[in-house]
Amino acid sequence: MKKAMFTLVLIILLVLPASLAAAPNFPVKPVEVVVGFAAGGGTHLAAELLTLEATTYLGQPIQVTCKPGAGGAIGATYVAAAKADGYTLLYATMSLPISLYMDSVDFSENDFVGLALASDVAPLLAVRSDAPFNNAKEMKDWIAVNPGKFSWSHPGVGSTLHVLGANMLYALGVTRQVKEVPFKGTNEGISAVLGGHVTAVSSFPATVLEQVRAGKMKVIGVSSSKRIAELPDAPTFIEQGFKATLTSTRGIFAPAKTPKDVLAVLDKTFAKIIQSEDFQKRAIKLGEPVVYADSATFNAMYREQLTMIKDLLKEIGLTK
Amino acid sequence: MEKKYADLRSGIVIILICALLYFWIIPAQIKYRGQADINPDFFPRLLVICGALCGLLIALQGAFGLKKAGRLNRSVFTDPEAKVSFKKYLRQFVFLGSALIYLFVMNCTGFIIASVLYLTFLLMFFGHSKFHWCLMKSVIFVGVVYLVFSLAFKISFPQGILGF
Amino acid sequence: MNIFFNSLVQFVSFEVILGIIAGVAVGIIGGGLPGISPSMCIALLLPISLYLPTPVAIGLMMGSYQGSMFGGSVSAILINTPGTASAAATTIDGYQMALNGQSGKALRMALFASCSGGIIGTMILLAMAKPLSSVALKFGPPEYFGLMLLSLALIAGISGKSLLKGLVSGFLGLLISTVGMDPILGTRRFTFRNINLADGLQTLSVFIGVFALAEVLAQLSQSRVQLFKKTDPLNVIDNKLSFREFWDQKVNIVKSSIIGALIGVLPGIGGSTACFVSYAEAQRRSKHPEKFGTGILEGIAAPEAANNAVAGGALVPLLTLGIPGDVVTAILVGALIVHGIKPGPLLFIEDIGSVYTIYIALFLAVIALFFVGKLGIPFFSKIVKLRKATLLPMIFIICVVGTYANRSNIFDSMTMIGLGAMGFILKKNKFPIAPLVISFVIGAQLEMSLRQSLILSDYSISIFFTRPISLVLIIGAVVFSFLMVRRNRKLAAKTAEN
Repeated sequence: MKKAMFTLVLIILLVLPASLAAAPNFPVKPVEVVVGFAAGGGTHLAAELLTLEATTYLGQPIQVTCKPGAGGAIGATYVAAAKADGYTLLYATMSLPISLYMDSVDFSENDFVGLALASDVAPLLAVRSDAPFNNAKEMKDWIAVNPGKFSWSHPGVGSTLHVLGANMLYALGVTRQVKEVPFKGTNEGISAVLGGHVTAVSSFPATVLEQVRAGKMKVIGVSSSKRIAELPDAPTFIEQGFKATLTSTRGIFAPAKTPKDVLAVLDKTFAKIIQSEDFQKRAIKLGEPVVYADSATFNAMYREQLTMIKDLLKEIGLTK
Repeated sequence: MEKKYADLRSGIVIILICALLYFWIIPAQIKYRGQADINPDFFPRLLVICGALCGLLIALQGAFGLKKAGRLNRSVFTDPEAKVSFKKYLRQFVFLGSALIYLFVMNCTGFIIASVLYLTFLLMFFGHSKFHWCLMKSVIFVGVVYLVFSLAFKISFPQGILGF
Repeated sequence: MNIFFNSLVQFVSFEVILGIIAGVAVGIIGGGLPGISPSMCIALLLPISLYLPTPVAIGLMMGSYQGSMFGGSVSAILINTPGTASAAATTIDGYQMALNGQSGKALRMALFASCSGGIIGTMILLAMAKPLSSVALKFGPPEYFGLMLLSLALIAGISGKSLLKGLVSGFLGLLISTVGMDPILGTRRFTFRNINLADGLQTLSVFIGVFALAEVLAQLSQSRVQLFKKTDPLNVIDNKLSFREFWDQKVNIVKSSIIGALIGVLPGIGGSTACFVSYAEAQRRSKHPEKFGTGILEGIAAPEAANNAVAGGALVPLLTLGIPGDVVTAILVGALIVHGIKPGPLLFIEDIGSVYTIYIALFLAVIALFFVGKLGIPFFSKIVKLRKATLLPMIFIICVVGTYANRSNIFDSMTMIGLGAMGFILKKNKFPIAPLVISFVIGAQLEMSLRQSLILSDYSISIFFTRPISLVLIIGAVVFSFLMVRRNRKLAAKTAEN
């Protein structure tokens, strides 16, 4: 009899903690969101927007940590290896799928699950305003007549703008006739274009906005399905007949092994945070677009991006 | 005289390191496909060759100096002035080794505990003798550094298994 | 004129003045703490500035910019650890002066030079913003290459007694700058499969390791008893800075400020390059170049004037074109946008008031720096009174924290240790450290500009010689090297005679 009691108590003691863990007592301490880019940069500032409403909707503050390096891969490696308890999340850009295929990294595509889409920016190709062509078709014709004279800049091999820029030129069919020149950042590229050293720059709208407004640069095409709000006069590639609609997404990821109920809590919370009025107001002020997609949609997007980018990189010739 | 031995030694070491780099490390570490006009290994190889040339000249400088003094013979190996005494640098080795251990341990125990313990050790290693005094100073110093960096400048330090 | 007065009036407010002073204080402290860079200080103040009216916010950030450029020299001088990358050159003579018991004099020189540099940089900004920015645009990859080559040639002049050893240090610096991803092809070089090295060795790890840690290792050769000795208070001879001593540096300061401002104008290069180029140039034109590195005022005045002048210079492309001139102004862009100021070619036309606000804030920041710095110096100097057995271990912990803080990555602290060992070995074998550091800073930009140029020219070298600016710079580099080598030979012969 005593033995049976003892075994019963033992079983209860073993089962109890497990059942308690299943209860969504999350979160009890601050949640860390890791950004794989430098502090003060665009991605960091965009991630910081999440922290403002956090305590109201999540009950705990969100702390943004920057772990820059290797185009976001250092931050991603850190989160992939972290404990999957929902307290360590990743704020990543499209460099995540890119780095998986262009680089040798210590994490795999299945290490992450998408939680929320927070931003979606369309890249564009811009040239100096006195360039001898005004739209994509004219540019393509010019390149055909002047082989080897066209050069374009991007902020580094493997960066999102590198891949997206290569994609735009691939859609134009001019990949082999252009010279690709990496610079330290988009600003240095813009400076080179203004100085006439390089013909075009692959950039996000916010960085060239003022140049276009001042009439110093003009946009050849935007890679997006429809025209963007910041530059309503800039034509998209697709409306000019060239198939380049790939945009750069930014979103929140969790380690894949995070328990489903924790993920559910995070999903609901980010839905509220990102769609809140305050968040959207500040995002607009920062020049960020206002988009949102929930965990299921974003995760599907992520999966889609993985296959698409894998094939794209091969097609463009950035990987074998 | 010591200088000339040192020059000869430095020169030879430089040549050896450059050879190591050129023939082993560079091919192992820089792997690229295809052939651009300037490959990723162009610069490193160029630098290594230039370095080796300088190393050679330095060694020759030392050798000529020794020859002039009539010492360029077997005594190069036996002369006490030519010896490098590793024992002289024991303290440096201990320091560096312990520093690496400290950094590794930090990942387990967290910044605060690791630093307090290590700083106490260092204070004693560098000349203090009263353990309690060192421990106290450690706690205060690490505490202040931690507070200033983490609160004022929002740096998050490595956390240990204990959660801080 | 009206607009100018409107902007000026904004500054006649207690809030704004307080903001500037607070910014300077934060900048000095942040700059003084190794690992907290000037960009981090501004990034930190950014969210706070959101709740403040625009003039206060701008005052805060300009104050922080100038303050951190001085703050870095405080730790450089006192504990041989550059607090910011721009103070690395100050470490060379600054720490030597501290060892000679002249830390107060060194700090004061650093402060006055910083303020002078700040003023001159601002004046250059005011007077020549537009013409400078059009010249800056003429600098494409070949011109950047020429400039880097010229800067590298200066190394020949700071190699000290042994040109060969200086060259080896220089090549080593260039070699370690290749660690990481190849800038053009993305190939990993020397990363030993470690993702933390993908972006190369961190600048701060190199500086702190090679200067501070190597020195700690060198000090360790003394016995425990020696390290435990109390510092001799009577050793404080000649610790104040006389006006005469400052005035003697006026040519040095003006020239170095100009160098700093011009380097700041070019996007992509900033404080860390400016401090070394001005230091090497000051040594080159000095009447007693062999004294550099032993602890002389010139060696402090030059880099400190230059790095504060960088601020004015870096604002030139920012305000005229919307392109930041260095990493700190890059963060400033975000801050300005959030306050409704849009840096771009239209700024002067649409919002000249904000431009004036920035100019005035910069000017006032320098003045605030003077007073806050003066207050702080006696306080900072107390650090030197600690005995080595206490100071050195604490310095080491600061080095670890500083190298960690940059990327929140312990690996960077580990590389610092490795580099410290390397620096120590170099020191012991009488290899000069300065050439290594300067070529490390220049190396990345040098290789990138070279290969960018070759891509643009389809691999023909003629691109360097058919463009006037780059031709001039390259010829200058060759001529400089010649002159430096010749002077070095003469110097070596002179010392051999003695």
